[in-house]
Amino acid sequence: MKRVLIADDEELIRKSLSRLLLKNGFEVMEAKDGAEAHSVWLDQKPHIILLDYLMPKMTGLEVLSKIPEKTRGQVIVISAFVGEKEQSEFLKNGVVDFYKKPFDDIFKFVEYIKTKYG
Amino acid sequence: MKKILWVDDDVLILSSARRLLQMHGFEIHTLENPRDVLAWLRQNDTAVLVSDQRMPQMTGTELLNTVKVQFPLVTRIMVTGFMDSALIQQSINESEVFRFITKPWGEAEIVTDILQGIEHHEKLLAKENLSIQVREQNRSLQKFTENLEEIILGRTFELSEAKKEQENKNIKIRNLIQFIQDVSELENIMDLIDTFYKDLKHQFPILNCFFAYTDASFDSKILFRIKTHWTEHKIHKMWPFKKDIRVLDKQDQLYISNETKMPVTNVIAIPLLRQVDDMMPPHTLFVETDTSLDQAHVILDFITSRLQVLSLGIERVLSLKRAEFESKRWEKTFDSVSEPLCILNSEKNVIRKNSAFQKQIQNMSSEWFEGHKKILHIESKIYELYFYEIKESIGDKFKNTLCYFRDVTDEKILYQKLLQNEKIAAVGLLAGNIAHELNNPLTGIRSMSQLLIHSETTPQIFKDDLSEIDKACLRCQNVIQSLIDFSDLKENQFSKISVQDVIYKTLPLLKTALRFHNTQIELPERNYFVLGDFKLLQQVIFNLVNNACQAMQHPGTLGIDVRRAKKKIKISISDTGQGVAVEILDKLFEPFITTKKEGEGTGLGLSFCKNVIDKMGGALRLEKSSLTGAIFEIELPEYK
Repeated sequence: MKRVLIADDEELIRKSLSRLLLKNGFEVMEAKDGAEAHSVWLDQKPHIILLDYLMPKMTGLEVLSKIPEKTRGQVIVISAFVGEKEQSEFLKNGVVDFYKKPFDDIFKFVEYIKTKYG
Repeated sequence: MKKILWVDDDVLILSSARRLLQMHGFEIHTLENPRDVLAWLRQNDTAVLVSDQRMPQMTGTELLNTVKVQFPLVTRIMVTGFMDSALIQQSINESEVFRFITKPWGEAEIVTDILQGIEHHEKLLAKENLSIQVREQNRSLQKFTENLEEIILGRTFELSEAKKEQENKNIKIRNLIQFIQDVSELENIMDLIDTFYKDLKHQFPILNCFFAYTDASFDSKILFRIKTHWTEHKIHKMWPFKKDIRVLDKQDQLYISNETKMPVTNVIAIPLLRQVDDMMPPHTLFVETDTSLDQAHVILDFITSRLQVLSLGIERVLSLKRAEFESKRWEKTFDSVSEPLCILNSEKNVIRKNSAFQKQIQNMSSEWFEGHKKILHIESKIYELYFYEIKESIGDKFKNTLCYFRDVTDEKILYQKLLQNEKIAAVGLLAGNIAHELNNPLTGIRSMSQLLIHSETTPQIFKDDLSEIDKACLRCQNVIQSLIDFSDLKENQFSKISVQDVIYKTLPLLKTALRFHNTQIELPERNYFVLGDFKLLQQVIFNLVNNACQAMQHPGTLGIDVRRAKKKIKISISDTGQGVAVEILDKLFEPFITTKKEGEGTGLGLSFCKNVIDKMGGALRLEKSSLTGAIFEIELPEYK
């Protein structure tokens, strides 16, 4: 069973994603800011991280910088606010998957994760 | 005592006469021979000669005739023994005999005759003396007269000489006065030199006249005659910097020959007085002549008499020209300034305008010049007014003011554009932040709504409501996206864009503006394409609709109509306001023309719109304007 970390400061997003992922057979953990995301990762070592970029305490990029690339699993950056500069920073950190927020259909998003990483 | 001479050949008579006369106190001499008489008379001053008629050597008449001629003053008395009338007549007529005494004579008679004879002699003598005196006097008078004539002639000559000299002097003075008059009336250098040349040429054999001088615009020139005309050209090399007069100096001759390319004989060089500018050599007059050194000095004397007048004349003309030149230079400088300048007097009246002022500023108002720095809207331009006091001299109270109209139109446009861009950029930044802040919860809401909609446990009635929530959130997200797009200041890039699309994406941003009005929007279903920048066209539509809404003070109808005609796409935006104010109709699309209140509009909207549409190869027009409304029409070439 794949473990998924949902790192997003918006509670409703965390909740809805969490429910749907659980339904789809994932093990889910949540983090409401960057610092929590880091500590959860240290604790649980999830297979997949759904990482928001703009979060309190630490940005998605800062979180990633604290996690060694080899051990961190799959990262999907979910953000409305990723410019070219940020995108290239993520790419340098080995992130290749971006999902644009707002997503219109949560079902399609979860389907995407399931298909690609499930 | 006067002597008496008695001649008779008879010795007895002689002695008796001597005895008688001596007795009466006379000095008497006797001669027997009449031939001795003349010699005796020559040596003795004799008053009376008494002669016998009949004498052997000659007759008494003959003797007395001779005596009459040679000694006319001697009174002649004839003694005769017998009287005949022929003898008497002859004696009286020829010898002018004074008395006849007949022999024998009476004593008393003789004495009386002798006395009378002496008296007669005295009379003759006196008469003779008188006539001698008269003659003397006549002679001296004549001499005197003769001298007088000489003196008069001499004096007359002296006088005429003096007169001639005076006349010459007068002529010279008259000529000089004429010269002064001529010179004082002339207004250019060539005429001055010509007058001087003619004056000189009239009296002396001069060949040419060269005038080397520095003119009003500080060009150094040489003026001279070629045949009958004066010519002038800029010099190649400066003339000798000498302040003294040179007569027949080879250096001057060489200089003039080189400068004028003419063979020049001897020259007299005369530097003129110079009050100003000691850095330049004095204006120098070169008079060409082929005369001797002596004659040259005579010419020089004449020139010297004219020199001061000529110098002053030249300085006067040059000063005038220089003043004119300087004043023109300032005038030109004043006129060359491309922005309006004017000079105000102390009453704030405009007394001078430059040409930019005359071209650009009409309908001037005196209120402009009250106070200090000002900003004026004149026609379609914006000017900042600056005032500079013109002080006539140090310490003087200023009288005039220079007013400078600085054209700040472009600056203002740029500033407003920047401001506009900044506003848009600020909106963009704000929109970005809002987008993130709102999108997150909106995404959450939507996701949760979607989950709940698909949940089997959710009652159907809630599912419908949740669907509404999802849609509302979507609308919110769309507005945010429109705002982000609208404020995106990426480089404008022309591409194929759909007019309908542009309008659809602009309308959500205008909801606030449109909230009081009805909308009547007619868009054809089939997309019409044009070549342009999506966001710029969006901003044009936004501005036009926004203007239309603001033009309607009461609730009205905003219409947007899109048509296609003859390969042109026409977008009409109409309102039911009161139309465009008449006073701004003809400059509607110029910048800063606005009827909106301060803070409501920049006056740049329509000029910006026109600019964008022009760039897209189209046209923006006010199609209709009346009290019942206005229609703006955008016409763009269709793109396929």
